[in-house]
Amino acid sequence: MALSGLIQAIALATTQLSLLATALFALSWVIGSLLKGAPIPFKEWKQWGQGLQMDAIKATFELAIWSFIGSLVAWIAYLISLSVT
Amino acid sequence: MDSLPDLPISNLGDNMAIGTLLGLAHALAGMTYVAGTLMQSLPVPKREWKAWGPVMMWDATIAELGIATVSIMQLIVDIISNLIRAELAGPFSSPSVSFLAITSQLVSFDAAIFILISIVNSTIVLAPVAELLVKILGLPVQIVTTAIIIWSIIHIIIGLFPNLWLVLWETGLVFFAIPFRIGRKFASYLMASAIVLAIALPIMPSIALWLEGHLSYELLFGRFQDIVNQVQSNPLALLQLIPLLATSVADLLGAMVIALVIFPFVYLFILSMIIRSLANAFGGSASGPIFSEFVVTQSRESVKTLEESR
Repeated sequence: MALSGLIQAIALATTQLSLLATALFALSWVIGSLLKGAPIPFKEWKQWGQGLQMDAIKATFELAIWSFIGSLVAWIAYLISLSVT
Repeated sequence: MDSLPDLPISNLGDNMAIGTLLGLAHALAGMTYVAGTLMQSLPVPKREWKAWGPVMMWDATIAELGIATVSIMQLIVDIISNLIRAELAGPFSSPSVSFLAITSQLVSFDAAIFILISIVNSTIVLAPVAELLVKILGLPVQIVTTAIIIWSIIHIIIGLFPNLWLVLWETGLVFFAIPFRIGRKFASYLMASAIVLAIALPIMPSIALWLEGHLSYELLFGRFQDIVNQVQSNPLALLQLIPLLATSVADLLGAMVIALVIFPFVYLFILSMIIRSLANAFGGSASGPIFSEFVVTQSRESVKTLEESR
């Protein structure tokens, strides 16, 4: 079936995207650390570095909890269906 | 015609299509979420790019919730449909029975006109009158035929919808789960259309019959049938009955046009407004008139003034 192929392609793309995202978290973290620890007198750059690190941590955490979110949503839906029926 | 016609697609095939669409929506939601985390961690000084991150993650979560609650949605639509049918309790609560009643009314009107013309035509003395009669009754025949076509189309759509609406809802979810909100407007339209039409379309014939009842259609048709019967027994009586026949046909046609020709379009227009309002509630920015514009509420200006005064 054509749709099954599409689903597989999307799943594969998602896996590759998540690998890219993980690499990007690391890159953001490293750039953030670099900017934060750089011996430069620009406070904005250092703040931006800190922001990058925070974003990298948040995004890593959010990527890690995706399956948990899926399960949580399914559980909530199950509870709702129990109360409706 | 006791039940609606079955779809050519088998139930198993239908369920498989729904399952595949759910799988596709789930895969897209996953991709949207991962793309959201990726956008959030982009090491670029562009706030608007990074802002897509939380938005996409939230959209993916909502899409997942939509996927998980498909059976609940089906149940809710069933409950609402049953409640409305119970409210319309009576001989015409089923769409098939209502459609049958409408079709038989239209066909009997058409048949009565044909009988009348053929009787008059077969009487040689009344041949010139027959020509006049054809001119008078030509428009009613056209209108009745149009009404039959309209209601046949409606019946086919109503017959399809019990199986089709879930596929439409799922397709809406698939478009909703596409990253960067690309299919969000179309998705909200599809989902809103699926729900509103699944609930409101099957009750359309019953409401048309209810409207007909209020317009005294049965009484008017009885009067017309009485004239046809009189002409059938004595064709020459038509000469005295022509003014009465014209009035009777005009009254009957008025009721028929309002209940069976204009009403479906008005009903569908109202449904389209409700769909737009619901699509807006689902997050799509629909254009055109929406239902809330026709409901008496505080104007935006007055609300703004109130907010400012606080």
